[in-house]
Amino acid sequence: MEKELLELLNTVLSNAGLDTISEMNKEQSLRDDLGLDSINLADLTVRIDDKFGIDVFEEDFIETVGQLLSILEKAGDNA
Amino acid sequence: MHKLFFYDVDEQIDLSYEDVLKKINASQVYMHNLTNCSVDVYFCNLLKGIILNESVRILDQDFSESEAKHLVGDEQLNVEKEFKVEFSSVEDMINAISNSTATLEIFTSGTTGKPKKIRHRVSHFVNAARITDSHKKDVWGYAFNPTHMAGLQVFFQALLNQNPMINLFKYSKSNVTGLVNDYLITHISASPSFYRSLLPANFICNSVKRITLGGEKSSKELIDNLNKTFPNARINNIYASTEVGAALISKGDRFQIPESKSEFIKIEDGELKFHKSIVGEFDFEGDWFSSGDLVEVLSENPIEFKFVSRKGILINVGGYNVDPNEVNACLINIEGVLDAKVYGRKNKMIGNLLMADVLKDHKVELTEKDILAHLRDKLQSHKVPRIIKFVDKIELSRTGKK
Repeated sequence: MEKELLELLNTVLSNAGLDTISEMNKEQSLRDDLGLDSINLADLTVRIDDKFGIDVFEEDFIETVGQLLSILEKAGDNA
Repeated sequence: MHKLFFYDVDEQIDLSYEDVLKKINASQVYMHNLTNCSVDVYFCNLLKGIILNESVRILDQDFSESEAKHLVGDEQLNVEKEFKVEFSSVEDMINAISNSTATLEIFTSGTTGKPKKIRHRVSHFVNAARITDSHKKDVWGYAFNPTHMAGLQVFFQALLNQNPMINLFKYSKSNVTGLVNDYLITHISASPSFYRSLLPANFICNSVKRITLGGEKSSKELIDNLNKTFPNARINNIYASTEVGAALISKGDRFQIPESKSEFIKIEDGELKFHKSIVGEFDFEGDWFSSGDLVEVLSENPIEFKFVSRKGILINVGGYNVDPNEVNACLINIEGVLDAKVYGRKNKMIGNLLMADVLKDHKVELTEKDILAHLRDKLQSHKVPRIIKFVDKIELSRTGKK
């Protein structure tokens, strides 16, 4: 799941003209560290929804890569 | 030899005007709220309703039962009514149709929400048809949904001149080019999306004399391509809608309100409006129907204008209003993009995320990244679709629009 999320993140970063990353750090802030704005984050949520069938922003406001991963893993465990 | 009425290669429908006469004379039943039948049965039933001076409700034949029931309310579907006529000739039958007092109840495509019911008198279609000796030899490429306004307009134009209709609606490029050349089609009226589905234009159809585009914005590139593909055709762009019918013809993208129509068509606050005397029957407030089409006036006396956008089609992306037509125009200008459709996908964070479906020319190397780079160069950031999907076909609405 981590590898797939990294791929999606890099697609969004690259399409937005931002630097891609080689690995994810759970403490990284999606906005402050990776530079994603609201539209980029919406783009990411749609790609995650298409890939995993999970609406990551359904309940919580997500700030970090770690929070994103934990929701995905939780949803994966419940699947 | 009997004159061909309607031909559909896949459905194996090959019906002459004499066949239609025989079917009408032999029939004992007209079906009210007809659904789920082939196009030849639909056309014959339509004619029967018109001959009976009925209020004919026209439903898409591919509606599911629940979709159709939703539109007819408390009424039943496929209600049989007694029918008995005996026409001595095709001319006799067409004469009865020309003098009918029937009304046709049509539903708009519902791009603005729930489908809206609009009633037009059959006389509206009869009066709009051009019936002359020179039109007797026309052969129509039938490229609209037969249950919709534009499809009905072509139907009456062909019927009243006893012209053949060759079905092109929903056919692919190779079928269309084959049918146009085999049947020496002279007239095609279709949406820009239909013509765009024929690109890249790597064939020539010499038989076509008249091409009409309507229902959506077209582009200079498309017109240029049509000129190459149909070198003997005069190309007309018309303004038409389910509410009004075909109302105005343009030169390029410049429409003029002719003197004869200036009492019935006006522009107010940048929006095109039509007087109630020239539109179908449906609920709207006051004497003027607001079309929702936003225009820019280019000159006065006579008024000339061009279309800018449609009210209500703007997509809210993070508080910015995006006109999908503007983005679409940019997309189809990219080399290798044959057609595109821009739309919003609901998103909790920003209202809508802008998406685009793209039909690309397989001979041209083109990635999502290439397209985004091109768009970023031409458009503000919020107007750039975030997700580009490459598709084999651009899905159209019921009317054949994007």
